[in-house]
Amino acid sequence: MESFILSPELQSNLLFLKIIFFGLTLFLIGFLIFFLLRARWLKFIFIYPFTEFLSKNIFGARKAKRKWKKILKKRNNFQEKDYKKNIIKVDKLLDRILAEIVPFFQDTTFEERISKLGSVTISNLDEIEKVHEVCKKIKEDSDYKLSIEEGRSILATYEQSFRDLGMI
Amino acid sequence: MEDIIVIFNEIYKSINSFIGFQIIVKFISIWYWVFLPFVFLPFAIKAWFWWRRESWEKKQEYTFLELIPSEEIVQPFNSMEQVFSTIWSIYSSTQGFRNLGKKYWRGRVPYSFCIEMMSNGPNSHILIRCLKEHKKSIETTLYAYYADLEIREVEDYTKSVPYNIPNKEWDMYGFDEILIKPDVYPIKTYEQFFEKKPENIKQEKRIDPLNAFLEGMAMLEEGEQFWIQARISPVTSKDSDYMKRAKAIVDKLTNRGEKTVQSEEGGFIPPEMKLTAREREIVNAIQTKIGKLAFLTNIRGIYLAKREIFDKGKSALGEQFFSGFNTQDLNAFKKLRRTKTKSYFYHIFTKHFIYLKKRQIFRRYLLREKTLFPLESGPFILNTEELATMFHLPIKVGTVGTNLPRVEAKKGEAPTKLPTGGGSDRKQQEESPRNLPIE
Repeated sequence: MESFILSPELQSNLLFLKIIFFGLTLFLIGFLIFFLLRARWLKFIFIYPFTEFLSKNIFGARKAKRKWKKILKKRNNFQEKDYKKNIIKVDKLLDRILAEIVPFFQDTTFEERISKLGSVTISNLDEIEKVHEVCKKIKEDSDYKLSIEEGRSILATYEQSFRDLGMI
Repeated sequence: MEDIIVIFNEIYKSINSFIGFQIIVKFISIWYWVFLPFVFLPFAIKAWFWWRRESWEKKQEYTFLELIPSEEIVQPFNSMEQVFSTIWSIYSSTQGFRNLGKKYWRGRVPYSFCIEMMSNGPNSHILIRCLKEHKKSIETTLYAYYADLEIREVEDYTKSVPYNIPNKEWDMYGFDEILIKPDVYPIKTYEQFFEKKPENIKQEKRIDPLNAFLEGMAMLEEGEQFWIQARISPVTSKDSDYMKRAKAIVDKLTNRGEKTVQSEEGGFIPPEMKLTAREREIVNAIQTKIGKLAFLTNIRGIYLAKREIFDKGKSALGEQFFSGFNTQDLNAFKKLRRTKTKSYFYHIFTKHFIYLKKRQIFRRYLLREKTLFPLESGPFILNTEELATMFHLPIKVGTVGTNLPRVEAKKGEAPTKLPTGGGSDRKQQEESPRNLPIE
């Protein structure tokens, strides 16, 4: 009996079943990875506590600071194209930070997150809404005309929001 | 060190020489593929449930109802108990075979709502946060018992502070309340200290812990806020094993299971008869508690203030409120050490630990989530009587007042036969301002 259960012949006869079981295992592992990446469970249980403990600042603050410093270094030499590129970058950065600090499950868009925030968190909320609209136009229309002054003022608006959030 | 290695080698050899062990190792090395899916399956089920739950949560819309009581409340306190009993009917089970689809496909979790008391500066407010679909039933229930009550739909008051607290400008202190003894032991309820007769209501005022708390909140300055949140979710013995736990405790207290002993006089005394009067009262109190409708509850509080006026002493307001329901031999509240924003001697990076605890409790407060969210543990059972004792409409009597808004003019009942002509009136009504900010 013992030799039958442990025999290689039995294993080769059950190869089809073995493939199904391996397939099922891979599917479950795949789902778990998908879940950890998509759902917010991992963030609540590990990522937020770990990063906030280390940085003593809200999640995403360090990254924002780093990215903002990079933009600041090059800002004086920006042309229209650079402004457009960086406005999109900064808008995305702010959206990500808002997604972390406004923890409600219901908010999926930038506008929804902004509506949840009071002007106490970001002082120039109305201006942010306006520059976000400009950013959307830049994304949609590659020929959108943006003057250097306009670009500078939009970046300054984002800068103020980062300052209010204690990122920079 | 070498000695330890020798000892381990010896142990390994002796285990290895055991034939059964060798067979088990061989069996696993050949048949491991059968067990692999079963290793991951429980985790995948939990992950699936969480994912579905998140999808369900995204679709839910919540609303905030501010309760503005009339100048004087004459209803007895058990009116509030009736309110909780009626609200309990939002219960909808997610347990059992029939509800598998509801739980694992739609991601539905048991319905819950929050009773919140907040003070922005000296101005206190009592609010209920509920699903929009429950708004009507909650309003109807409250009006049925408190006809003079005014209910306003307001904005989420947490918007009045930055979401990145603690920051350079704001500091906070937070805590979660738990029960000292198993949750089947009741806390002190209104039956024990409230006056039932409305004519003695002035006496009641002096001993109502809620009034004392609201008066304490009225002393907060501009720039200070105090928030109390009770998240309650109706449960039955299907969802929680509190009935079993209560039975086990009652059996232990009454010495059931012990043999009946012969007394000196020659008669037989059953173990239950050996209880003192107070012990009998405790058993009765437990049985009375579990006999009433139950809610799975978690309670937390936060004191927030601008750094220049932050006064940690004021965080004791919550402590004072909860200590009003404590007893020595039944149940009492205490702060949960794990979430309290305080450092302990074993914390190495103290400031980092405190910052993390503040962020976590603040985030859970905004989300109106369970004590240790995303973990399930933490909530405890409170029945309708206990909840009504803690959260009811306060009476304003005498000279000492709270800064709770009151309905100034008594509103009569609406005539039953109002003309309902054109749709324009209705449209106008629909367009009336909603989501008013809390003043």
